[in-house]
Amino acid sequence: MSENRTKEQSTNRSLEHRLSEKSGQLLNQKVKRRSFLKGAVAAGAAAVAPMGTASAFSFESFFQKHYREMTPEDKKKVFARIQRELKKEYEIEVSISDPAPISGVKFVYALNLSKCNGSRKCVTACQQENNLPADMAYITVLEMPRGTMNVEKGNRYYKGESVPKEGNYYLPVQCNHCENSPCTKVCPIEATWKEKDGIVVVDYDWCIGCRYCMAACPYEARHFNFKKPKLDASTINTSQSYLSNRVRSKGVMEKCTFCLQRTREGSYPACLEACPTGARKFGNIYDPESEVSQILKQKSVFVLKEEINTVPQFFYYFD
Amino acid sequence: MISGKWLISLQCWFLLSVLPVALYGKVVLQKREMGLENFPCSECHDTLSDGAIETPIEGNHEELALKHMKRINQCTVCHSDSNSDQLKLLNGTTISFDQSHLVCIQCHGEKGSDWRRGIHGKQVGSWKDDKIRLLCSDCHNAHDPKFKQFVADPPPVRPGKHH
Amino acid sequence: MARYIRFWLNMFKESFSGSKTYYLWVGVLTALLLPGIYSYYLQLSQGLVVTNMVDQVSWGAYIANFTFLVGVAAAAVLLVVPAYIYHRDDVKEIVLLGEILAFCAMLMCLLFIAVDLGRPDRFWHIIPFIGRLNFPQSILAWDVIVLNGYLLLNMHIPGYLLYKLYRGEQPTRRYYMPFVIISIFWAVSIHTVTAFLYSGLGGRPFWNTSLMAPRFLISAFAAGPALLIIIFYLINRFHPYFRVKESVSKLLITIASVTMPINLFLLGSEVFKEFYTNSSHVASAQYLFLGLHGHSTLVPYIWTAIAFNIISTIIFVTPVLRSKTSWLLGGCLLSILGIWTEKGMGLIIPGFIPSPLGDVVEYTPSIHEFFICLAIWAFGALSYTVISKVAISIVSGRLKE
Repeated sequence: MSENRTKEQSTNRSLEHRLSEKSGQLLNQKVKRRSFLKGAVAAGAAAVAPMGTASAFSFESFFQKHYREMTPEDKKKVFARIQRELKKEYEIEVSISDPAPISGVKFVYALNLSKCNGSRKCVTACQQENNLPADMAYITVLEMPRGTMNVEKGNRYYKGESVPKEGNYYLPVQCNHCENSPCTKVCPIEATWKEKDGIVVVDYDWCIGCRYCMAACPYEARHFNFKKPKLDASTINTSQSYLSNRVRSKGVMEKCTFCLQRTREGSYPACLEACPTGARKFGNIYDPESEVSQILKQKSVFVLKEEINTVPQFFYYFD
Repeated sequence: MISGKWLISLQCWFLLSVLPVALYGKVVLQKREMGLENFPCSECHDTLSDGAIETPIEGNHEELALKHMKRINQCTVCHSDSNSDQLKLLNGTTISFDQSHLVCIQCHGEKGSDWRRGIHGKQVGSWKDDKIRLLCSDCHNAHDPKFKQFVADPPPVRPGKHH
Repeated sequence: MARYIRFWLNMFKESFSGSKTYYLWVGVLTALLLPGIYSYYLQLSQGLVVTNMVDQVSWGAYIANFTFLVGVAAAAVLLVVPAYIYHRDDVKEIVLLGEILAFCAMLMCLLFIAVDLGRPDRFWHIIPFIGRLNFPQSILAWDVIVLNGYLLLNMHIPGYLLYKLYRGEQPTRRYYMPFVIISIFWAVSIHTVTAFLYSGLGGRPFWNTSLMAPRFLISAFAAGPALLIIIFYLINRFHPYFRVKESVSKLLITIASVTMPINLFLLGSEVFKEFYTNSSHVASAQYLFLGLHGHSTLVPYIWTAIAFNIISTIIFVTPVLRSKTSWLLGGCLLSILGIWTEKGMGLIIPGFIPSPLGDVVEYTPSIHEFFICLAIWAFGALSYTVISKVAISIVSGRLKE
């Protein structure tokens, strides 16, 4: 029996391996080219920056403007400061990108609950991509007993010797990027807002850490840095963007950004690429041929906690 | 004789013209045949016999379990009997491994149409430019297609007192 | 200008003169600040990780105390209305003490908010026009305005009147009366807006009740008078010459004897709705009153609080009991403790339990949260003691130009 299982698991692992290798190859090509370019730009910026600005930077960051009030010039300075700080602290060269929403694009996510097997591969991939410490995750996978849709009956702490477990289905929850987002509504200082492509972002340098958005979010999508995030310099993803996966400071809020550092460049989110079952679908809802458009047309989709009228852009379905 | 490569590219062209092409980019099917380049089946098998087989198969295919369904118990249901480097449809047409999905959708039509819409299965690459659509057998073991159980990544730490 | 500076210097000097008891009291309060300052230093350097707040329970003792104190501040209106509108002379004599209480409570509220912030260094982001106040969308932006507005109102009114008294001049009505009128409505607004902070959240069914604002106001008008009665008792007991007339306490106890029963009634209405409906949203109430999935930290506290509220209500409405000073003071103390528990931790924490995705994570304040809270309370008591002492000296004519 146990022999049988290890055998199954080994074939399984080879499947995972195959899958990750495939998507990995494609990914690496892209990322390498991108980060090389960014790296070159960063190096250039660092060379131009005058010496001795390090002593002035606390003043500089104290009076840093809100992201949406920054001029391209301001941004350049701010991004250079972030690069300097990371270089000093972790001894890494990072690129700070600032991809804008693409016009005519609105992002939607769809997740097939019949396929999700609760392997949490998305969770891990997300942590790596978005520079999350081990004790924080944007995705909460709930092990749900069959026969209920009440998320309060879910268990997020299930151990996964072998998933899916009999009699359960798995419900991954992350930021729903609501149309009618309570988190952005309650923020007293507009430190979080909804972008044109539907992504809800946080300006980590503007947030005062009052945690009102956290209280307002019905999906536990927001995560607070109660302490300085503990990161391993060797595993930091150096391809970073200002509004998403750059390294956060203590005392600020953060959340899933649909990997905007990737998706606004055309890639899929990291969670989707890591999913071993193809349960995760992402795309532009204005493109009638996109996977998500097709799913919304073909499947009976639903959203979580529809009764609160948050109008999520994250859809679930069974098939 | 038309070379194998020619044939493949011809088939790819044919497939692409049939598949719906997205406004924002095209869908490319994941290639399977490359994996066979170094060890083509024809190295050992000239032909395949069409008798029922018992698993596990002794010799080089010990790992191979034929658990697709009860009545699929011979290699030649899907593999070409005359050219072991090719697959075969039920009507006898031989096709390349790059089109293995055509074998699958003979029975799994509904899944096939979901797959063609990008709903079933996995697509990687770019959501707006070229999408790479994985074939059925990229995720499912064609001989034993049911998804196996996984070892899940570690659960979140239950918050306790920080100290 | 020089006169005004001298006014402040004189007040400052006055605050340092006093009996041994006064020095002892001020000394104890100052000593209580120290552990809190150290804890806050730790919190500043390590982050809010020194508290027991986590993602699931993201607000705790700070916000609970804040909520209670907004009520205390609002309760000052119970002295303002009889003094300025109904011209009750006995109340007029001490109305400044009520306004100073509102001012000190407001200071404490703002401190509780400040210590709850993850990035207090970015406070300027909430300053209207300079920062980016999300007004009128965010109820917290409203709260920033009403709380600071109330602070300013209660700084101006007693400040102006005291300055005039100090100089022996008749205060000009139009320089303070309009603000008095505004402050009456403003008092109601601060507690209403604070209630709306919670009740406006659709994702927290325990808070998402229209009874929240009425409950907040009623409980404030119950605990507020109780606190004032105790304060006036202490002044009469320890102040060398100043005496608050007994009729003031009578008025306050009359108010509390009406608001306490209403508070219990509103609580009962909530409990009925939760448990009779018995929908899945009952979970938070279940956690608070009965315990949920074996987690029951708050259960003994809430039942003790309810017992306190019932006992104090009985004392307040029974003439024989409330006329005895010891019973009255006991009743006041019980009602303060009861309401503090009920609308502090008893309201904030269950809102987070279970979490929106069904996790049950319990919360009790950490030692650092305890010391920080204690220090803020001590700071409030300290500033109230000092300011009211100086105010009494001016009002009674001992401190003048």
